[in-house]
Amino acid sequence: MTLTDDLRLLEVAIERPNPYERQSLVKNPFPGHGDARADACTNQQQIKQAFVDILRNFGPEAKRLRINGESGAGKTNILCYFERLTEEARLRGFIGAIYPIYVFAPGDSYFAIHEQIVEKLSALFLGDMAIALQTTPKLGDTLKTEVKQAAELLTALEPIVRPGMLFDPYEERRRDAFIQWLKGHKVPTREKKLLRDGLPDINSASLAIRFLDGLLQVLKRVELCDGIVLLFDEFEEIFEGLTRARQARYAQDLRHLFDTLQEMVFFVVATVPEPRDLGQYPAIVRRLGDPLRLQPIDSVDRAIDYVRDYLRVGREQYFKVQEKQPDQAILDTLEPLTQESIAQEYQALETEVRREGLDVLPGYFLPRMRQQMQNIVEGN
Amino acid sequence: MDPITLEKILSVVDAIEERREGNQLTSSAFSQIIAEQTRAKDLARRGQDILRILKAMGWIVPGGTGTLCLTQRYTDFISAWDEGDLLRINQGLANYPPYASFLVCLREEQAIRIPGRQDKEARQELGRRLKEEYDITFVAFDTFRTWALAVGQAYLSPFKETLYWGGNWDDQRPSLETFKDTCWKSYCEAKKTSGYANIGRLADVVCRRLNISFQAFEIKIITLVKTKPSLFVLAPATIRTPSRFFQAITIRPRSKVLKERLAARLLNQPEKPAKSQWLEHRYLEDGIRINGRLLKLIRWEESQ
Repeated sequence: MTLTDDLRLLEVAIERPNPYERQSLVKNPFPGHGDARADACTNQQQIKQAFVDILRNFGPEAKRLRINGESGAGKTNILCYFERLTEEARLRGFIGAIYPIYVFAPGDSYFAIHEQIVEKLSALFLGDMAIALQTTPKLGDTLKTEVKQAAELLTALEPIVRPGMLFDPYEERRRDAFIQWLKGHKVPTREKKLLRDGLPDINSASLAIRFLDGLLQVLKRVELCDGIVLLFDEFEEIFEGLTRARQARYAQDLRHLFDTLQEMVFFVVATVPEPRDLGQYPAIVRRLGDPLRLQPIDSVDRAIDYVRDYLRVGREQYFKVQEKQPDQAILDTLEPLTQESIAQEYQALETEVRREGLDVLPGYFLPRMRQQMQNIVEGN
Repeated sequence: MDPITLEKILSVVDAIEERREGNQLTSSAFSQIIAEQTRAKDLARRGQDILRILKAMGWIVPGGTGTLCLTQRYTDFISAWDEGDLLRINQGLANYPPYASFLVCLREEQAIRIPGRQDKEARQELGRRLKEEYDITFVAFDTFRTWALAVGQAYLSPFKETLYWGGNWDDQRPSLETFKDTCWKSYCEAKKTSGYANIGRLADVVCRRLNISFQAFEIKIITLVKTKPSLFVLAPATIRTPSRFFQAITIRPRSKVLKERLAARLLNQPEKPAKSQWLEHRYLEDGIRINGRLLKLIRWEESQ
């Protein structure tokens, strides 16, 4: 029985038909305020090309891309899009074993993002890494010698890799304890006993970064992961929301992160153009490199491109759900919208924003298209 | 009468701009503005106080029944505020006689040491002297110094904890040559590391020597960079926790605030509290912004 078969068991007669189905859509295809999408990213060719160039040539040198954009310009959207793009490229064999990790809400110390990275890496690789170490008995010892920064990490893994019994009733608890330890959390004594005695607490960012580097090096050596793309959102929160003392600490840790993980990580950082105190840290600014700016919606034609892209993605989803072959004519149509209605919406918004010296951004325009769509489809 | 802060005036004027019809404002609209913009227990009295100030500034005159008229002086102030033209903003504020008296006091005193919050005796003594000689209370002094700082008419040295007269400037004064010479002299005396001095520390000496504000220093040095680009090198530097509590305050152009407000509305985000919108606070030692870069260090290249 497959998912498709099981879904058929749930099929019932729908009392209230979905009005969007008349338009070959599953739902309103346009995002609301603050909704980021991973399947649509119109325009932004310069940024996309820069991303693809670095991804394709994933070498040991520093790999960094800084993306600038005001609120509403599409920073989160393009990061989510790059996350999806990297996944698809890897699954289709276009790139090596490179995995995307999206991090946000940087919190007030480096550990806020460290946790997110460890969470994702553990979910992706912990099981397979344990198997790789189990099936090659001497590999762990070899790696401890050759990857110094992974020595303690591999020691902590030993009770998971070699539990000493056929069925380990504490396997899940050991994994949880290991993940909590690697995140830098204080592990309760009874949980720590499930790991190795004498494990150091990860109570400094430099130690956390060292172990993270060790983990990535081990993953590379066991051929599970060639590198990661770290997609860093809300970067400006570090420099606009924290006290000077915390900023300075965080900036130091970020600098250390950029330098230590240079070989294995492609850093993609999205931020507002001039975060208030980022200029206080020229070492960080230098490491991020020259920013590429997200382009606004600068013409009616561009606005129509956006609408066409989102409608297309919505219709592709419809045909996928319906398990039908996509009809090209339906994929390309703007209906129930028209070029005139889109132009009208764009021009009204343009007049409003230009008065205050602003550009038309996707974050302003797309929710209006969502409303227009809702008025047409649900209003009828 | 309770003193009115600059943020309060700006909030009220901003609200007037939102509600005016041509150059008219109804009295009921004004009352509504007071209710929204102040937290006074006695709104009627507070409204009267603020209206008295706006009338004393020559910004508002009585119109027909239940109407207030906005004058050309008011329009000039709005235009100056939109552009962030500090000298013209100050001209608008200086229509208010008590503030004008404060400026006279500061110009004549040249420097007034700011007593600490806990030093009640010093505050009382200063208040007594200012009242005697200039008919200004300590509370008025405390309020008006922020006005003067925010529009570039005063300079508050965080290192000397003293308020200096800072109004000796406009497009022609000090001349670029005088400014350059004073910067050079101050640079020679400043503490340096590998030839680099901190711009904020340099500004402190120059502002006190020339009786100009920090904003005037910034304007003049940017002009100097443009006209004589090889004169010195400016560089960024890693943060150092500022050594003093006092910050440079500058009024933000209203056009900038309106831009942010519109962006927040279009994104369906909550608007920032009005109080935090109007004034920008900076530490002197953080440096100055030129062409989008934050520059903290200066090294003189050409010998004088």
